[in-house]
Order: sequence, then structure tokens, then C-alpha cells
Amino acid sequence: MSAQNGINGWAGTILRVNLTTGSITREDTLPKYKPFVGGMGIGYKIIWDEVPMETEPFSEEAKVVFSVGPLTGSGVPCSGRTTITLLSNWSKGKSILDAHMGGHLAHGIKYAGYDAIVIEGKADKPVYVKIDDDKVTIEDASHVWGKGTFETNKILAGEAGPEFDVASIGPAGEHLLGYSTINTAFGNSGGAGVGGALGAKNMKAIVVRGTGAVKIADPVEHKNLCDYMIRDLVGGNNNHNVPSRPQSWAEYTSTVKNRWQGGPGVVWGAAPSGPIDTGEQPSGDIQVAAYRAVKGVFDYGDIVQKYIVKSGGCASCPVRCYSEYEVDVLADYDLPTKVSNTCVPSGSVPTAFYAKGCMHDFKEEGDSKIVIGLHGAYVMDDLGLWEDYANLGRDFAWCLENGVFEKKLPKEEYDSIPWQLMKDGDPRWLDEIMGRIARKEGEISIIGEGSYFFYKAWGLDDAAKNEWGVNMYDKIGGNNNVTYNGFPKHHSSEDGWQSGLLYNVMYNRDCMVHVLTNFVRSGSPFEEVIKPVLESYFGEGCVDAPKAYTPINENKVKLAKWCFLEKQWADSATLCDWMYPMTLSTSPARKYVGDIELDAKYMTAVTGENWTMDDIFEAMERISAMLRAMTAISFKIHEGETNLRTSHDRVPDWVFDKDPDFKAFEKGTDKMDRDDWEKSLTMFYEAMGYSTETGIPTRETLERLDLADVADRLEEYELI
Amino acid sequence: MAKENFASADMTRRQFLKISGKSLVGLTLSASFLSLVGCTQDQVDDGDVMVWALPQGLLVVNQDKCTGCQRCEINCTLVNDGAVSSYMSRVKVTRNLFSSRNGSGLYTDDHWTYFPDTCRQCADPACAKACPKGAIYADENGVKKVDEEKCIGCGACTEACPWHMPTVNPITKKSSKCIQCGACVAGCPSGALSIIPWEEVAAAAQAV
Amino acid sequence: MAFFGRRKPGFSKEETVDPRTLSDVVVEEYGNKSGTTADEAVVPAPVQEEGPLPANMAQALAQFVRNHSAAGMLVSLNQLTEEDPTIPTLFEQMRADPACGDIALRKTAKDTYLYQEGSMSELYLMLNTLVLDDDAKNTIVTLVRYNSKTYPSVTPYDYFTRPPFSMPMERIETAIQDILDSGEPADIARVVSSEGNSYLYSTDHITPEYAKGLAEFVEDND
Repeated sequence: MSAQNGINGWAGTILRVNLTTGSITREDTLPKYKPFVGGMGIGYKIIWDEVPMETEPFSEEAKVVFSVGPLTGSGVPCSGRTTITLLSNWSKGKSILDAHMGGHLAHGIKYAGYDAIVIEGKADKPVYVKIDDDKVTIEDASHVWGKGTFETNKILAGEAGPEFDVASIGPAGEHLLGYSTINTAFGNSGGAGVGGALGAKNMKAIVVRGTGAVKIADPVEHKNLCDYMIRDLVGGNNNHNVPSRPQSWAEYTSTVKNRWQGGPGVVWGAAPSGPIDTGEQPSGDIQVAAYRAVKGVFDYGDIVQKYIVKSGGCASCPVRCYSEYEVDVLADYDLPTKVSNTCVPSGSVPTAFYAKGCMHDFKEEGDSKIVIGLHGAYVMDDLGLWEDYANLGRDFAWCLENGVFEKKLPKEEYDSIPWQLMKDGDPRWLDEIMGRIARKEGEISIIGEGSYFFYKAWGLDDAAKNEWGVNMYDKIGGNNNVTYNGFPKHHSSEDGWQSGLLYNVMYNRDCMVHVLTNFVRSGSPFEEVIKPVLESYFGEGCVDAPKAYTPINENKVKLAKWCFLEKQWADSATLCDWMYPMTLSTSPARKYVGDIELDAKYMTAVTGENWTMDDIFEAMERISAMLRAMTAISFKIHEGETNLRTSHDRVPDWVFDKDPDFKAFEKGTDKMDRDDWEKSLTMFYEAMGYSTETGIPTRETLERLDLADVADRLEEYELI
Repeated sequence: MAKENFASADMTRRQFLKISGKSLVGLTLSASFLSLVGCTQDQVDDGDVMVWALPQGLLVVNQDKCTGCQRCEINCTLVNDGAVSSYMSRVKVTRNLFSSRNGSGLYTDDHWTYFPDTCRQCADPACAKACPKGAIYADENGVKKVDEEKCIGCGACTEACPWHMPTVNPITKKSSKCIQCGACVAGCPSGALSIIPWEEVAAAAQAV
Repeated sequence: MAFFGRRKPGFSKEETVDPRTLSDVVVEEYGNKSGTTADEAVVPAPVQEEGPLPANMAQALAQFVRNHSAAGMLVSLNQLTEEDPTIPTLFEQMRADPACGDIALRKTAKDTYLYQEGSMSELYLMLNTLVLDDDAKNTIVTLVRYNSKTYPSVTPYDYFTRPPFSMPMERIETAIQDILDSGEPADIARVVSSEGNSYLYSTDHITPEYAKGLAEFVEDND
């Protein structure tokens, strides 16, 4: 425990669990991992040092790193996040990526005394890892193997005792499906194949209790900073700083639906003792912050209020971006009525599994999305099934619409699928169809191996190879693929002009960068708030108004680089990458200016060291360079590619060809221009210190970042 | 048991202290009092809203409003220990959050029932009586505190307390318990924890 | 006088619920406290009386306005005058009294509204007066122009069904159809998104092509 070790911030210990040998070992986090800070940084460094990029991602030789950072569990609002680093079994190149899990496990890990837990090897039978402070054991999991995550978590938490937290994989992970997760709390998960990576090791779950503490160097200043953040800066979900409904103190309200849906008359309608009105949540009042988000209303509209019991979410966070529901309609189908989720698993993904016209209302007009969505999320969470930021739903929907399953599946299998449940709009269709995918029952499960392998297997990545003449990456409409690697855009050029697209292509999964979309869709007006505040940070022309884009410039590139590094920082610190940084604020007195130096202030107060944002960004450049280097090596090994710019970073046609009635940079479109894009990419690579030809970090950059060993290995692979 | 009238105009703080540490279940509460606290008589009687009389005011825990953020524990330890911990917190929510002894919490079938709990500042404290060193005393406001110089960290207080509220700090080896600093209340983002000062209670009583 | 369908005890003796209230749960709120339970509506706490007792009726009027402002409500001079014919005289006395210098007024075509300076944002004040004027067309035109200019954003029809407007959809659609059919005012136009939803915008600030794009922006909202 860091408080016992006398270290401020960090726990000080990295735990290694070898499931082959059963050995439990420890190493000091510092000084070795200091240059990588924590979280994503520790994960990437460990994978770099110890797992060759040739390694099969779902194997005994692969490693899975659960990690947290110096700010995790320090009381910083929105710091209850666990980063999970692994190799991808489902995206092109099978390269390095990170998943991010909320709930409360991050606190348990930190208070138990660990900055990271490295899972190595493979057990010879199903096991779970139990951590009770410094008592770490490998336990038999045969009694829960095969069960869904809800039942597993209930059993293991019940067996362990009241203060133990738990996260488990479901059937998808056990069956080594690419689209698999680990699940905790209720509706919190880490995706991107974590389930399969652990399933391949016969590791069913992790159970954690920590009685320790995070030591704070300057607790008085740190408390002041935490209070200031909640009181004066943070807004609703996605840090939207303007309420959706008029409040007497608010100078603006959002016309575009935003994620601050709480307000007078909006209620937690199913609160046990009677509806609770969320009321006003003025800037400056800490004790009402949890009433802002009311995510259910954003997802489903006002009619969902009667089902909302309360809000929930992750440890330390005042935003509470989950609505927790009691949907009595589901009892009619003998399905669980207590349901909760906050993202696409409870909306666009489940509804995509029903062909047009099949869904129907249940008790009132417009409630089909609520019933189907929330039950669908329950099914996916229970199965430990991932959706690749809704690509699973989009791919499935396209196949339904075009009669693809009928053509591609063996007749026997096609006929065995209970399509009538879908036609009846029955929520149990989701248990059926998602269950088949998760358990690899039949060829339909190929869709769960990820868009990249799915399209390849069914010839959908080449118009000449399929009877529909489709290229799923390039088609316009119903297609969010932002690269040819098998993952979709996550708030890209549709929210953030060239800047958004730049960081969207850098990762090996959908980018978890919410920095731009958070202020673009905050509800704040462009001329009066967004432009002046952002330009005060990054200079003239760094932001465009919605659908009124302009050609690339230096300041947009500065902005893109900042967003890119901020994501690495969030997942290293750890902080919620849906919330940070505090770009804007709720405060009219501050003219809505946020505090983008806050993170360095936290680091200084917590560690007692003098941290600046430059210090943070330097470390994040280091991690970013490792991401690019490992991606380059993976692409060489698995794809025979030596140039990221022309392979990994390539953007599909639809981004440039959509809205055919418009030219790029005309008001009304967010389409990109090819020449402008190439220029953007070049400028971004330059700003990052990557080769403008290949997008791979140069030796000069790597040596500046103390990554000479990375440069050496890239040279061995003939990539630089 | 006859229902006593509560918060009537002549109720004094001394009278409140007599029932300190007990809940207000079974007492008829005036309308203005209920409005002040923000609940109904039924909620008090059913235990959904726990109200107990403390020296500086009424501590109200509204179970329906707790969203499980754990910031009560964060604020308690940050302010009182200079380190952030769940286990050491004097207000306890984590033990109710996952799989509590009452069968509620995220990992039970009663998923959405979780709430913070803390020292009742009992008028006749079992913890003080159990302490072999007499380390638990009441200050001038009636708040029960641990004298760290006398405490030997034996844990008898934890055992004796019907709610297991005192916690022996694993680092300092001293017992620690709620001292009514109010940090948890001030930092609760949903108002699940609130303290109504006596002056306001008296004013509500007079409005009846 | 009503806003959000709430009424407070005071000079007005009427107790009617505003039919525009959207939610079944009518919550009487004072001081805009969050997280209040529905049953509080049954027994509201008295309006907080702050400061020394008013010296005369003019000052009492000022205090009445302050109390309403604290709850986000305006005081309609027309309605008060209907209930009490001495109000215009009191009003003039109040305006002349330095002790009532914090009481401001906002005139619309229909009424004069009183509020305490600094008690609510300029936007809230504007919305308040629109709701109280209860002129559907004017409300729609004013806000469509405001949204088009300020954000910039197109305005969905159902924007006006929510609090504080709480207009039934038929009333909204009738008013909008009137505007579009008559071409009065000429700058208000409609755009339909690819999902088939209707939005309004002002051509003073947004072109038709841009409006189409902004409608898509609203709907392409992950």
C-alpha cells in the first residue's frame, strides 16, 4: 500500500500472476515505469518489453496488463478507471490496443497496493485470481466457468465478502471470440477482446479487496482542487457544460440534444419512495452535480423517466452517467427487469438486430427502443460480448437488410435460427442470436470475430468478391469504418473537422478521444463561447463551426495533437476519457473557460513533485510513439506492410465522397477533401515527429523520448 | 408505542440529544419538518430515509439518492487522514455497494440498493464501554471521539459497535470513527447525505 | 401567474394548475433545491421571507417580486392589476423608492413583467416572458431566430413541447403552419432531415443547404 510504502500517488508495486507456474511475484513500479506514468503507459511498456508482436493475442504466451495510475483512487473526480492492455485478435495487424473499464475495480486494485497486475501464462483449468491486499491466490473457477458475468460476479462477490469487488468474462471470452469483454459492477466493461485474451488463459475472473490508501503529498491543496473541479468546472456527461433545459442561472441551453438532460421536471421516476425531481444544478453547487446527466433521457427521451430508479457510474465520479432502471415490461417475458448501461449496447446495437418493421411498442408509443435496448445491453453484458462501438450492429443490420445470411449461411444453420422471434419483436431474440455469436454456435459467429475478419471471410471487403457489389469500408451510408482495419470512427470528422479524423486513424481500435466532441456538442454557442475559449488555447482558426469547415491549418493540427495526447494521459493517469480535460466550464463568471492545466495541478498536489502540462505531454508523446512503433511492427509481421501512412492510416472513400451535392468546406457538409487530408496527415506527422512518408516515429524522435531501444528494433524490422 | 409529537415548538436541543443515536422511526413528524428534511413520514417509517439526531444537527441519509460514487469515503479520508482510502473511511458506503451483509448491492438481486452509513453518536456508546483504555470520549458538543494517545488499536470498539463503525487504521494502528466534520455531506454530489442544522429544525418547528 | 405550472401563496388567492405542465408530478420548488421528492408538493414550506418587514405596501410589492424571482418566476403587472386596482399606484411608488432599486421590469407587446435584477439569466428572463405572453407564434419565431444566430442550430418542432413552453404538439404545428403558409415572417423556413424529421431555421442566419447539414448534425449524435 502506497501509504505504507511512503510513496505519494503511486501504489509502488506491480503484481505478476503466472497462471502456468502459479507463481506470484512483485516488482517496484518506480523508477522503471515513471517515464510512462501509469495505466496505458505501464501496459504499453510491459507489452513492448515482454511480448513480441508475433505473439498470438489469445494464447499462453500473450500477456494482459490491468493497470492504474498515480491519480487513480486519489480522490480526483472521475478517476475510477482501469486500463487493460493486450494484443488485438480482431483488428487488422493484430496489434497493441487498450481497453478501459469503469466501475470500482480501479480503486480496489490501487488500495490493495498495486499499480498494475500482469496476467501471464495459462492455467490448466478454469481459475480466478483473488487479491486481498498482499494476499494473492489463484482459485478454482470451475463452479462459475460457463456462466454469464452477472451470475459469476454475484457468486464470487458473495463468496468473498462485502468489501470485495469482482470482474469476470462471459461465454464470449470463454469461446475466444474476438468481440469479447470483461464485465464488472453493472454495465461496466472493458472490451476489445479482453474476454478472449483471458479466456485463452482459462482465467474467468478477478476478485479484489484493498484496505490500503493512496498517499497524498498536499491533501489540503488536493481537496481544494477536487472541490474546484466539481464546483466550478465539470458539467454533465461528456462534460457538456450547458444544460439541455432552461435553468434560471444558465445563460445558454442546448438546442442540439446534449448530455445534461437533468432539470426541473425531469425525474428519477422509479425511485423507491417516490419520484425524485432532478431540479436545477447550478454551476457552483457541488451537492447537485449527480443530477445533471440523466443519461436515460438522452438515450430514450422523456418517456423513460418512469423506469429510472437512480443514476450510477464509476468510483469517485460525480457525473453518474449511468441510469439504473427497473423495466417492468421485461417481466412479461421472464427477463430481468433491473437493467443498466450507458452506451451503444443499450441502444443502436440491439435494435440493429431486428429487421425493419419487426420492433413494436410494448406499453406505450416509443418504448420499443427502451425495452429492446436495455434488455440487449443486459444480454451483451452477461455474455461478455463486445460490439466494436456498434460496428457489430451495423454489420448485422446490413446483412439483414440485404439477405446476406440466407445466402452465406449453410441452409441447415439458417433454418435453425428462430427468425420468428425477431419478426415478433420479441426481446428474447437477442438472447438467441447474441448467444449464438458469443458461443460460436455456427458460422454466423464469424461476425463476432470483428469487421476485418468478417468482411474478409464473406468477401464483403471487395466489390468484386460478393454478389452485392459492396465494399463495406467504402460504402456511403450506414458505414462508420474510419480505416480499413475493422473499427469505426468515434467522434471523427463529423464532430471535429480534420482534427477529429487525425486521431481517429492512429489507434488499433475505435479511438477513445472525446475531447473535441465534448465541447462541440456541449450546447455552448460557437461564436460566443467555443471559438473564443479554444482560440485562447490554440490560436486562431483551430476550431470550425458545425458543418462549416475550412482547410487545414497549423492550429487545427496543434489541437489534434493535444487531443491525441490527452487520451493517452487519461488512460495513464487514470482519468475518465469521456470527461477530461476541463476544456470549458459551467461557470458564467469564468466566461465558460475551463482549466486545461488542472491535471498538472493534481499531479503536483498528489505526488509532491512539480509537474507541468509539458511534463505530462512529454510522457504521453513517449507512449504515443510506442503505439505507432508497435503498430508498424505488427503490420510488418502480419500484413507485410512497411508504411503506416498508406496502410493502417488510410481513410475509406466515403469520408470524402459522402454528400455528393456538396464540395468539401461548403457550409452544410462535413466531408473531407483528399488533398487537404494528405496535407493534414503530413502536418500531423511532422508535429508528432513521425516520418511524413510512413507515419512511423523517426529515430530522432524516439531518442529524444528515451526510446532508443524502440528505434533499434524498428531498424531490425527495416521500418526506419 | 404511542407516537410522540416531534419538532413541536418547545422541543429543545437537549431533548433531541436524549434521543440521539436512535432513529426517528415511530415519531410523528410535522409537515414542515418533513419538508425541511425532504421526505415523507412513510420514508422515515420504512427506513428509506434515515434521520438521526446528532449534536450539530440532523443527519439525513436518503437511500434513494445514493448513486454509489464513494466520494463520501474519499472526502472523509482526504480531510481526516491526508490519504484516500475506502476501508479507513469513517462513513461507510463500499460495504453496502457490492454484496452487503443485508443482501443488497450491485452484485445481489437488489442491485440498486446501496447507501452510506456512519456512527450514530450514541448517547450510551457501546464502543466507549468496550474500550479497555477508556480512549473513546464525548467532546463538548457530545461528539464521540477516539483519544489516539490512549488507543492501543485492539479493535474492541469495532466488535462492540452494533454497526462496526470504528475502524483500526492499518498504518497508524489507531482506531478512528466519525467525528462529525461534515466533509462527507459537503462532498456528496446527490444530497444523499445532508445535515440540517438545529436552527433550521427549530424554525420549521415554529412554522407548524 | 404561473411558470412551470407552479403557483405560490402570496397576493394571488387562486390555486390553479397550469395545464401546460408536462409532467404528472407537480413539484413545488422553492429556492430551486435539487433532489426534492414529489410529496413535498403536498405541503410546501412557506416562501422564505428575507430581510426586515416591508415598511409600506410599495415595499411589500417589491418583496413579493423578490420572493418570486428567487423561485425563477416573474410577476405580471397586468394580472396583479386585475386582482388589485391599487397596484398601478403602488408600482409608481415602488419605482420611486430607492429601497426598491433592485426591481427591474421587462416590457413585451402584451404585458410588463417585474423581477429582481440579477436573480436569473438574461436567457431565462426572455424565456419567462415568452411563456407568460403565451403567443405561440412569437415564441417560435423568437427562439428559432435566436437558435439560428447564436449556436448556430436548427430548432426541432418538439423543442416547444418541453418545459418551460410545454405546448401541445397540435398547437405548435398549427402555429408553424400559419407562419410557413403566410410567409410572415419571411425568414422562418423549414428543413426536413434524411430521417424525415422537421426543423425550423431563420434564413437571416442560415442558408437552406447549411440548414440541411445542421439537421443531419443533430441526428448524427452517437
